[in-house]
Amino acid sequence: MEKGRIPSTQLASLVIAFVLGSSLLFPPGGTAGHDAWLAIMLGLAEALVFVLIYTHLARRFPNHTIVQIIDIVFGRYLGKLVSLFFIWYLLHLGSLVLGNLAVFMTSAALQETPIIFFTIMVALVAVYAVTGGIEVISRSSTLLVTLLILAQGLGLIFHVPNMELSRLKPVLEAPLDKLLWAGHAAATFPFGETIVFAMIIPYLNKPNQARRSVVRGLLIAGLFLAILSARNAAVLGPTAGISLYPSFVAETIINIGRVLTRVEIVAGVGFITMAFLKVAVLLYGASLGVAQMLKLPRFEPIVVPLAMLMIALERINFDNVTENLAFSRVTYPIYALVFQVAIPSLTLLLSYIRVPARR
Amino acid sequence: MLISKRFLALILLSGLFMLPLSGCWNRRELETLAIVAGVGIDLGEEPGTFVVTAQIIKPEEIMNSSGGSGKEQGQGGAGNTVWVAEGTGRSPFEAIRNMVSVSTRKLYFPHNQVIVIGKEAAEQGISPLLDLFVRDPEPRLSAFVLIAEGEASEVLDTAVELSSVPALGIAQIVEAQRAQSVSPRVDLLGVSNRLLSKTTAPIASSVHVREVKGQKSVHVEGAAVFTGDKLVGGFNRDETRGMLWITDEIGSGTVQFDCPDGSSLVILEVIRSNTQSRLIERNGSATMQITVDVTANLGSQMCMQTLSESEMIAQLEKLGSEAIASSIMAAISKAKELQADVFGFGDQIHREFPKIWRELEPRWQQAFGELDIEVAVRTKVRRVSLTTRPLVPDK
Repeated sequence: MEKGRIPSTQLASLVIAFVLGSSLLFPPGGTAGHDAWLAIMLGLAEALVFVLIYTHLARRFPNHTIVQIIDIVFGRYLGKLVSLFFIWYLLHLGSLVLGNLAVFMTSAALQETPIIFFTIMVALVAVYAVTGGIEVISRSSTLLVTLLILAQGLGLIFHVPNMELSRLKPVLEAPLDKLLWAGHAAATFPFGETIVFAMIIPYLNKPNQARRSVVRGLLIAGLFLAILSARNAAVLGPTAGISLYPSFVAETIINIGRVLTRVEIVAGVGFITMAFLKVAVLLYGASLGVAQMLKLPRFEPIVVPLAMLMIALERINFDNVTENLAFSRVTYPIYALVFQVAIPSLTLLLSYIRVPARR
Repeated sequence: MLISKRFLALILLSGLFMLPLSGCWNRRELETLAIVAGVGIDLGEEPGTFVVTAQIIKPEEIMNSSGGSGKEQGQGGAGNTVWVAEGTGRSPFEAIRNMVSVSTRKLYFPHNQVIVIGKEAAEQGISPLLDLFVRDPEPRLSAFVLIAEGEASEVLDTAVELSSVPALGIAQIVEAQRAQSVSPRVDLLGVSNRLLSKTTAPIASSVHVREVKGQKSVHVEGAAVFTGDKLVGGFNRDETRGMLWITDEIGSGTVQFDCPDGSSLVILEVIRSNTQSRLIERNGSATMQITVDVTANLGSQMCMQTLSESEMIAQLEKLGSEAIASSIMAAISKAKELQADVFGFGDQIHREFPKIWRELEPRWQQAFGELDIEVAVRTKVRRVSLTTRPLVPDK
């Protein structure tokens, strides 16, 4: 079905793009105040456990996506149901990312433009990328991630005069329960969401390197997010705590000799490209999943319908942005566990009981 | 045949892409924008209303005036390169929007450089006034915040020499304060951070309009001090300087005092300054230790003594340190009098001694008033510039 093969380095960059997708807009760990960077590190550690589960599953069933594995393990009928749940998650997550991006655009720049305009535009590009296959998505991720890290790295240097590192003190000020919850929230968003790569790992040219690439990508992206989070707190101070998009607002502060100013649009474009890649990966995973679940000969014809579904879902997700915030702070860290931990670990467990290893 | 079909599809597709590329809902053409350079907020005549003054750039006039005979001065107004528009409403936002009644163009805030708040409005609290400017995506956090000693509209209605747009001139004046350090350089982000702090008192540059020989001019000096978000008083030039020494925001400036022979003044020019403030615990009570290291040059002398001798320099260093310390003490006693922790000592203790802070926080207001503050100033006079003796014959 998918003929393309991607090298493991590209998988790492794809993981980076995926993780940064909407977390550049909504930095994880925000509820921990200026300790957010610590929460991100905790979340990263927790999510590495999630990664071990699904990469182990991928090792036990080489050349099988998680949907195919579920089909083998749970059997023909129950398997379809579980796969449906999993695909629902990918679609729902895609709609959330589309929403994040669109709400950012309408809050920060184009306030009067209807949200659906942004979701359709991003979904269109994602559809184009997905029909090109996994090779297209992963190659564009290498290019775009390089550009983003370059731009953000330069931005970090430009921020040095505005940084007051004392604003990060006292470390560990957030109460432990709050910090742990913020860490867990960071594990489920964005790190644990890499479960979608269980749909992509079989298409590596060297599948045995999958775990190493995913972990490497995750570590780079996690470190990057932690640095950005610390930078936001050091540059913006308490104002970071009331900002909906602190990473974006921090960029507006850059002022090098009154010449280099107003560079936030560069960062904004970077955020959009990462969100596009995340949507593309999710759309790809969902399309491939549906095709494999229904044993269709090709996945390309269902990309457009699924993208339309994603756009429609975005419309009904939330009435307003505060609903979105409440969902991501309270509901999502538990909701996501079903798909990021429960389904893969249940599959893994059952596979030991019901299916002899295929090596 | 196949190629031409593909070609046709491509043409159609690029045609399709032309639709979104031309822009859409939020299209703004330059000639439809009224670019705001400075904005002022005052209380309205009716209770509960606000008057917002916006200084709007007239680009055509700037082009004319720079090419021709220079700026023509209106009758004491802000000049003809800007238009000072006014709107009234029960909120600053409504007041700004109400300007549609007089403005042909929509006000555009990303280039706004200064936010001036009138004294009476500031006394009622600035949080409700500034919310719009922090929340809305158009204004920028780098705009300077100034408190007018009278009406903000008067400040924005006054021309600033050498600047075709007065509001930009005010922003430049605030920037230029580094040379004398008698007014803080406070932007919206700084005010926002202090408003969000539990203990640190917000400050802003103080601005007023002075009339000399019928010519009005804008003066930026001193600092306005808030507790909570309400204006409670001000620091004069000396107290402001003292505060800037403590917060390590001194750029340069003149420090002057009597010559060792007492006849006239010596002026030191500050080249560099570095302040360390540390909290130390001494038999149960906390003491703030402030150490200021100043490097200065002998900038000028008005007395007739020969000062370029080692013993004399040592004495100048001592006298300079005393002069600086006295500004610092003036700032501290004024801050304690106003019960305004403008130095951020509370936040500093919070960061460095979270345990002590837990005990201090509930009674910080009182603890700040009783806080022991030790000031140590070390001045180094390194150079005497180009001459060694005053302009008098050798003895």
